[in-house]
Amino acid sequence: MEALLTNLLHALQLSMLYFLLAVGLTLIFGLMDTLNLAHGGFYTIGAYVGWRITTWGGALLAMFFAEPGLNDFEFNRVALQYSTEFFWAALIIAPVFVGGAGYLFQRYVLHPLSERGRETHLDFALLTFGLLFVIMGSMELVFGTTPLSIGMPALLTGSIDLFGLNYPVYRLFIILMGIAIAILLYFVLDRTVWGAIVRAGVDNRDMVLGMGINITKVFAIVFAVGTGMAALAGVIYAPGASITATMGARILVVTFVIVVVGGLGNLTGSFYASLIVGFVDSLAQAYKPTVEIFGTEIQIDLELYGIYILLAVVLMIKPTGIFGSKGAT
Amino acid sequence: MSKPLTLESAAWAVAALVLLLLLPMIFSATTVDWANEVIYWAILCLGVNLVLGYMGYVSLGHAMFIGTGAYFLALFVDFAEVPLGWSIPLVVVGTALLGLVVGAIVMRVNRIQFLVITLAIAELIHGVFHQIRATGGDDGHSANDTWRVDLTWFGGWDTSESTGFYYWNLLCLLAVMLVLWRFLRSPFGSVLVGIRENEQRMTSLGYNIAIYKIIAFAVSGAAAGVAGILYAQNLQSVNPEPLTWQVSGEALLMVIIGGRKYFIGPVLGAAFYIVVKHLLESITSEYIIFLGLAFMAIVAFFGRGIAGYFVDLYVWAKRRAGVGRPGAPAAEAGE
Amino acid sequence: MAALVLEDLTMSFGALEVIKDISLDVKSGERHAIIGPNGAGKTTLFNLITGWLKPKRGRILLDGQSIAGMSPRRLSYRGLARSFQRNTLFEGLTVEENLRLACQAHRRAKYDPARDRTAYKDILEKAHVAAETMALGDSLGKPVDELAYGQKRQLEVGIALCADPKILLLDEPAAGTSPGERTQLISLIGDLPRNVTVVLVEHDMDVVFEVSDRITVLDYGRLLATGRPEEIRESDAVREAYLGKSGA
Repeated sequence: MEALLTNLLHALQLSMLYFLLAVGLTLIFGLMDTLNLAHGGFYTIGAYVGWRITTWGGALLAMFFAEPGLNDFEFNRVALQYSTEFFWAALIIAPVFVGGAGYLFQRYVLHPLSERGRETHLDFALLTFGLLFVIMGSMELVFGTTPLSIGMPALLTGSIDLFGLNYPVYRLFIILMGIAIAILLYFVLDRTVWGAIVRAGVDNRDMVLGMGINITKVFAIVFAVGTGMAALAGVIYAPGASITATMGARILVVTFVIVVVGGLGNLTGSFYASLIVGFVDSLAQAYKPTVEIFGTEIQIDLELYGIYILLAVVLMIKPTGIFGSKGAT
Repeated sequence: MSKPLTLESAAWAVAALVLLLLLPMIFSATTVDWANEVIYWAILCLGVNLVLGYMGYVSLGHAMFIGTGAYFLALFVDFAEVPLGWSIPLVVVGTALLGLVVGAIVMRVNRIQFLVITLAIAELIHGVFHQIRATGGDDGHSANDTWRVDLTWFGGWDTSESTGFYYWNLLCLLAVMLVLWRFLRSPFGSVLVGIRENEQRMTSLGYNIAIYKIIAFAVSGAAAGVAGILYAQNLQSVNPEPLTWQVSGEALLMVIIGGRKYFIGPVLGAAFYIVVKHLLESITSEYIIFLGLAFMAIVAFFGRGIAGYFVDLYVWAKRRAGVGRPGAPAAEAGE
Repeated sequence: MAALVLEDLTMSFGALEVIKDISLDVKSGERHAIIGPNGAGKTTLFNLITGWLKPKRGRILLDGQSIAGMSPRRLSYRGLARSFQRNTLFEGLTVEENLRLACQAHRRAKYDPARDRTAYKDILEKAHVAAETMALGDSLGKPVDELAYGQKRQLEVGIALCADPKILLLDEPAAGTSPGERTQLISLIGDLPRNVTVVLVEHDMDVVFEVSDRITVLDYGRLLATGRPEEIRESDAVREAYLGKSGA
């Protein structure tokens, strides 16, 4: 029972991480018809920038507060200790930085190209795909190929008693962040003028164009918000795992599965699909049944393809995704 | 441009062929190794471009075909102990069947979903081969004996060394190109171009576009399967690496850089990509930054790629020479 | 004899009924225009007849056989061809290739993976005939995106013509054309062979009164009147509901 509960919470935690990525991808696709294949790249940049902030922050503090006369090794150790608390700074700065980059990319690269009118939305998918490769290469060039990690800040270490269950605070933090972002997004989209414009744009872009709204700016801001959330996911994920240039690739594929299962451009769909895919993925990792075929025991390891089977089944039954694609009600 | 073969384009083709035949004699052994690498990529890219350039669908899953092509060869020859001469056509049939099955799954979806789903299915297959213990899982499997075809009966043609293997590769490339060229110039091939341009109109005219999509995907997969055979023969082993999404991605980069609107584009793209990669490798291991940027620039500003540059150069040269009206040596996709 | 019969055809999107109990006979060889203000349901009616939409109620008879609910693909084999209100062409291809693709659509040749597509001389011949019919004989080698707008509209009809239709449905063939282009289109449509039944939706009254034998007026999904052009011109009900409103 406890194991099951733990697994369910893990699944929820994974779902929320996926949601942060999927919702950004969905917003961008819903509004601009651009499938941002570089989304995983922005996630990766987020993690690396987060790492950079914590290490620089730690070194800076160490310069002022470490006892004088330490050798390099000791100094680095002290700097590393100080660096963990800069996680909180990274949590804010990295998304702003990456979101800014996303803003510039949409405003000064993608939008001028779409103004020329010849490119199709497939060309934009290809363009961002090239960007993904460029980002992965650049990250390796700048940060090297050795996996990096961000230390866990004090507040997130250890476990907490949850319904009689000993559960890591860090994982609980991810769950709460995901839910908080979902609620925040819901409020912004549902209750503000900005949200109304974006929702109208997702439903019917021509209508928004006709209303005299500066669509260039709206597009760029939504692109910034989407990529910023990817970066946020990157920072959140970093203390629990290692940062590599290819970290965005696998999670990008999972995110794609989510947006297709949830219906392309469908925001609520992306939330529920995140839950579904997160649970399938997480449970596939946790349970590995063995079956006996022709006398040999074979372990069915669904970890690598549980979600793809889910995707194939969904598509065969409903090609527009469980919750319906944009424009295909 | 309705004439498929003019004297002039035939002359160009012969010149290119002579150059390719003489390549081992002109250049170093390293170049021959590069050429062998270029050829399996080129064949993979020809397969990718059948779907991308002609039918207008971006596949991010062709790694599944080159990968399974390589694995099928290993399975047939080393595990099922089918003679090599039979295994090769069987692999082509096998990858074509895989293409039929996957094509049947993806035929109903739109172009954006297509991209995502081909990627997902390729990842699924990657996962499967990653886990099969019989073929060595992640470590892969080395050939029990040689996988290269014995052609010594043909004037002592030795495929076990690099130059002899190069000519075998070249033969396969030309065969694939000939088959695909005929296929794409046929009425069937023109239907694929119609699908790229306007699916609504094709349906309205009475075409069952789903069937064409499935068959196109199977033919494309079979071509990539041939690439898989050459990959396995080149390495004399198989591993899950050609099944990764990076392989599909790099093939896509090559096709776009080479020029998706031209039949020859994928071949030029593969050659350019591999050569640049090896030249840059001595400076930085992050050659992908340069190639990625080149790719983005071509998508954004010059969708016709290297082949398009060649055509422009040719037209310009002709105009300078003042000869007749401009004509393109390479047939544009669908013209 | 009636080539096309609609019986109590009804269609709705959600709660909105866009086609209400429409019954109509189109005679064989007739030029039949369907007019009505925006939102009258003309294009929806076209989509119902050509199989892009399934009617909620009612029957559609082609040569006496019910065809409601058949796919556009099957209907094209039954001799139903249509053009579209917005250009639905193969933009990247030449005029000749556009027409050739249309001409091979019902032929076994389309499955041939080996012979050169230009080797089927009869298909090519037919494409050339269609090009002549729509006055595009001089532009065969031109890519579609280099054509003038009026020529694109001619090609739009030409492609539909290639399928040897018994009934040709033209969805606003003159939409967006200049007066000169319109005159050209009117004469081309007027010259279409009489063994083809033509049903057209059109906004432009010049086109309608010039080419049609009979006119049907729709208003908010209802059939208002059917009759010869002069009857329609004089009908008070039509004038009130349609001509008066739009000021045409």
